Formats: sequence, C-alpha cells, structure tokens
Amino acid sequence: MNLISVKRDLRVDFFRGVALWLIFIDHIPGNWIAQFSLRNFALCDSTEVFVLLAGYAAGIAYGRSMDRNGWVFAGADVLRRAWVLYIAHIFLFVVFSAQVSYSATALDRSDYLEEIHIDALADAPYRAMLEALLLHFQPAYLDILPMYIALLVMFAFVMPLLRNRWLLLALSAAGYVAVRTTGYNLSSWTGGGWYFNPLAWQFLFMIGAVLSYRPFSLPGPKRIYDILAVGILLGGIVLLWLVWPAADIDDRMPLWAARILVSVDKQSLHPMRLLSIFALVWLVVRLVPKGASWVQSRAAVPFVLCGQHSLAVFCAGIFLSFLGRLAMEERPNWQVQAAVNIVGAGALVAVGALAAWYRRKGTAARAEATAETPRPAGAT
Amino acid sequence: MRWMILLAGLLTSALPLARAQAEASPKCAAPEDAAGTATPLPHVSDALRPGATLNVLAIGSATLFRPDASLAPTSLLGQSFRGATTTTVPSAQVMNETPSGTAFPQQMAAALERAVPGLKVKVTARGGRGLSATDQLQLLTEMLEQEKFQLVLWQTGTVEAVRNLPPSEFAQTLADGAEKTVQAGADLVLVDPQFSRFLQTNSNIEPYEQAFQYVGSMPNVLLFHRFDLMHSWVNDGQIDLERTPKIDRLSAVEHLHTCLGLQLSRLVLGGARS
Repeated sequence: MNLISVKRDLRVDFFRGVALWLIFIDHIPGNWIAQFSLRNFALCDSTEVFVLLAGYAAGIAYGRSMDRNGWVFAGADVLRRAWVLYIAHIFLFVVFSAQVSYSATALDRSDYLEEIHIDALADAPYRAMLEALLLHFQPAYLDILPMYIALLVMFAFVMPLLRNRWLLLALSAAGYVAVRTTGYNLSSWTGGGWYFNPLAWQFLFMIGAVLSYRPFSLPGPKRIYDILAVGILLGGIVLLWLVWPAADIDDRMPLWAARILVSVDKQSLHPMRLLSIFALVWLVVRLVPKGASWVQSRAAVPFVLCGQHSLAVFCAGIFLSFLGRLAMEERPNWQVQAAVNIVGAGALVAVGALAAWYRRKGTAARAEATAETPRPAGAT
Repeated sequence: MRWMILLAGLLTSALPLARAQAEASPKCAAPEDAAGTATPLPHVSDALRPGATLNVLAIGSATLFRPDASLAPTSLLGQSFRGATTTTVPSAQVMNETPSGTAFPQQMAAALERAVPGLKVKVTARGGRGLSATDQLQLLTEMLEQEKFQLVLWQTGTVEAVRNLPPSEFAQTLADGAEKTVQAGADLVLVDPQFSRFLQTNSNIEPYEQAFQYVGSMPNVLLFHRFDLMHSWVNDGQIDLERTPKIDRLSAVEHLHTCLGLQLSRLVLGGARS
C-alpha cells in the first residue's frame, strides 16, 4: 500500500517534514547535529517555514473547499481543524507535564521544571489547569500549537478575502505593523505574553494562504529577485557568524545600529526574520519546480510522510526530544547522540507512516462499506 | 536510507571533538577576562583593609541558600513551597534562612579573607526560587534601608529569559537597582544566569545579556559573566553539571561554587584595586 498521498504539492509536504525534523533536533539542548540546523545559517528558522507552509496548505485545502461549498462550509472545517489542534495541544500538555515532572523527580533535576516553566503547575495546580485550557499558560515547547490554533481561528473569519488578495494582504500587513509598533501581544499567566505572538505571525500565515490560493508572479525580471534573495541570505550569515559573535559590537558601531541588531525578536516576527524566510522561499521555488523528480524519490519519502501528518509527528517530536535530552544527559557520549538522532528521526517517520496507514485504511474501508450496504427499499 | 547513512556520517565526525572535551584540565582555570572586566569599586576598596569588615548583601535565587537547589528532588521543593498559591507571582518563594557556606558568595568571602589577612567579610543573603528581578529589587530596597552594605551581589535574569519577560523592563529594573545601591553607598556586582544548554539554544538570552552589559557599564557597577565562565568550563570539560551523573552531582556543584567564588573574588579585588 502506498502511504504517500500524491495528489498534493509534494514540495510543501517535503519541506514541512524537514521543518518538523529540525524542530525535533533543535529542541534537544546540546544536540551536536543541531548546529547544522537552519537557524545557524539564516535569521529565520523552522518555525517560519512551518507557519508559512501551514498557511500555504490552508490556502489550497480550505480555499478549494470554499470555492466549491461556500464560506460557511469551509470556515466550519477550519474551525473543526482548530478544535482538533486544541485537543492535541491539551493532550500534549498533560503528557509533557507528566514526562518533565516525573523526570525532574526521578533524576533530582528540579531545574527542568524551571526551564520548561511548569513549576507554576506545582505551585498553583488548580489555577494552572484553567490557565492551560485557556491557552494562557504555555510552558516551553508548548507554545507553537496555541499560535497555530489562533492562526486558524483568524483564518476562518477572513478567508473570503482570499478572493481579493491585495485587500487581505493589506489588512494583514496593517495588523502586523500595528502589533510591531505598539508591542501589543496576547497576555500569558506567567508574564511576558505569548511566546509566538499570533497577531504578528498571522502575516506570514496569510501570505502563505494567498500564495497557494491563486498563484501569481511578481512583476519584473526574476534575476533581480534572485540577487536580492541571495543578498538577504548572505547578509543574514554575516550577521549570525561575524557581527553578533563579536563581543564589542556596541563599541564599534553607532548605538542605533547596535540597538536594531540586538532587537531581532522571534516573538513578534521581526522584519529581518520575515525578509529571511521570503528570500529562502523564493530560492526554493526557483530551484525546486513543482513536480521535481527528487521530491518524489525514495530518499524524500521520510520527510514527505512526516509533512503529510504534521500534527501527529509534531506532538511525537516534542515528547521524543525531551526523552532524547534525558538520554544525552545520562550518557554524554557521541554514541548516545547518534542513537538519539537516528532512533528519534526513525520514530518520527514511523509515526507519520502509521498515521498515513490509518488514513488510507479508513478511506478504503468506508468506500467499501458504502458500496456493499444494501439500499433500503424505496430509497433512490 | 541514504539520509540515515549521511546522518550517521555526520555524527561520527563529532568523535574527535568529544574525546578532546573529555581530557582533564586544571581546576577553575579560565581564559583571561572570561569572568569580566574589573572596573573600579570605590566602596569595596575603602573597606578592604586588615581589621575592617566588608558587609556584603547577596540577592538572588534559591542557589544562594542551597547551591544544589536546582538539582534537588522535587518532593522537597513541593514541601517548602506550599502556600505559594497566595502570591501574585506564580511559583515565587522568598527565603529567609541562613545562606549555605558552600554557595558562591560565601566562597567569595572566604577567598577575600584569605587575600586580605585580617579582613572580615560578612554575607547576608535574600532571595528565593522563581523570583523575578522586580521582586528582587523590592528585597534589595528593603535591605538597603535596614543595613549598611559596601557590596551588593545581584544574581538574576534566568526567570526573565525563561519566561520571555520584556528585556527593556528588565534593563530598567537593573538600572534602578544599581542607582539605589550606589545611593546607599555600596558597589554593585551583577551576576548573570548560570550557563545551561537550554538557555543557550532554546531561549532568547541575548537581549537580557545586553541589559546586563548596559547596566554593567554604569559607574560603581561590575558585571560578573557567570554564563560565559561556566560555558568555558563546560567546553573544556572542567565542570558540566548537566552532564554529571546523579551520584557525582553534589560534589560537582560544590566544585562549581568554589570556582565561581574564587573567580568572583579575583574580579572584586581587581575592581577594588583599580
């Protein structure tokens, strides 16, 4: 049985899978291989890739449904998806809290509780439960799904504007600029606001949705964009490798420049991170045409599988990365590092494959059942 | 399968790196200036003489009282933090017990007493687990009103970095603390967060470090780069709490605090004598 659904743009699934794998390896502190992950070479990281592709996938799937069945129908589906994500998030919250607090107790490492900041759960358990349900309490690593849920809810309401893409982009950009200038963020129980401010990140999501709903080309010769994109990415590498590591940047450059450079935040998607993901996407689109043969090759299958079942793989990744961290701290040697990365990646692919198998199995059985059920007399 | 082979290849190339880290290094050795730059500490300077008493206030986290607090079984924490639900800040607890002799401020005191014979160094500690810099500033202000100190050690920043609290407000809190300390006739040594791989790679610590740099450059203020110092010890394999087996962890914590105290005393002496 072929587990890959080939009717979709496999590039999206492939890069989504890559982003999920990078999120897994990045979430293990001290993971040797994580120094080769995207965030070490670009100002953006797997989160930007994930959100842009989430928007892109939403634009295709729900955009098409809206054209066929109308806004209420498609919008309801988006909200149902947000509900599924919410259930997954709450389940993950319970599993992850149990995993971290058990490990902290068993291994005498109460610093885990502080780092992941589930210490609040021990101090005020009744309140913490409520705050978690309200997405108002987001321990470390449990901050991506709440943003995704918020993005989908926003999308359900603005999706008719996909037909008027410039209006949607203008509104979305206005929201982004307003959030960036006022510093507004949704509040969180432990202070500091949401780790990923959905009111800022919606801009990237909407851009993804607009790009997939009705693809369009940018004005002017493509070469100009190629040069710009390469320039932006090289500029990012210079910043990451040469400027930021220099200890005395404050002394060697004007104060305003230093201030801009140290204020590149992830929370509200700094414009430099946005530029970086745009440049990256442009180059990928230029280098990997739709239907590129290697994306359909066997080597790409593990990533495509993960990308096509992103929710299950993401949740498994959060659990596995903490498990990997425990293993690496118990036995700090390269064999364990290698084992954690290989077994972890293998487990993610297995989760993706299992989810694909269930989906395929279910579809076939349902089709069969419909075909075989004798119609009641009188039915037409 | 090709990618797995590639992955394995990448990982095995890390082998020599891991071996180099395992080699032993001299105790507490650190690169020149890793702990920070000694800038003048006039109030400490006046008190550094035989027969005098240097009164030190340490503000910070639970590690001031129990260096192994972050490695303690959580069942212990659960008992001591019962009742914290009534505070406005989740998971915060102010401690008032006697500081431990093995914690780095006491180790610094002992090292200073060795360096200046006849000097007496008294350390008072205030702080607790989960306190933000704002909470600590309140403790600092109260203590400065009650007693005369020549030196304040202020260990902070982890709670802010982990909870993603606004860095600009953090910088302002540090600056307010520095101002109050200097007005009260004392010098301030800021102590940044402990190094951890999580803080390094999974939190955005840079803006908070910038706040430390900014306030650390004010007059009568000195910044002790604990994060960088511990990072260098992790890199050369001297002290790595996160990767020390449970059975050896207590002695590793003591070793860490001895080294931190020693490095801090050198920095303070350098500041007082410059």
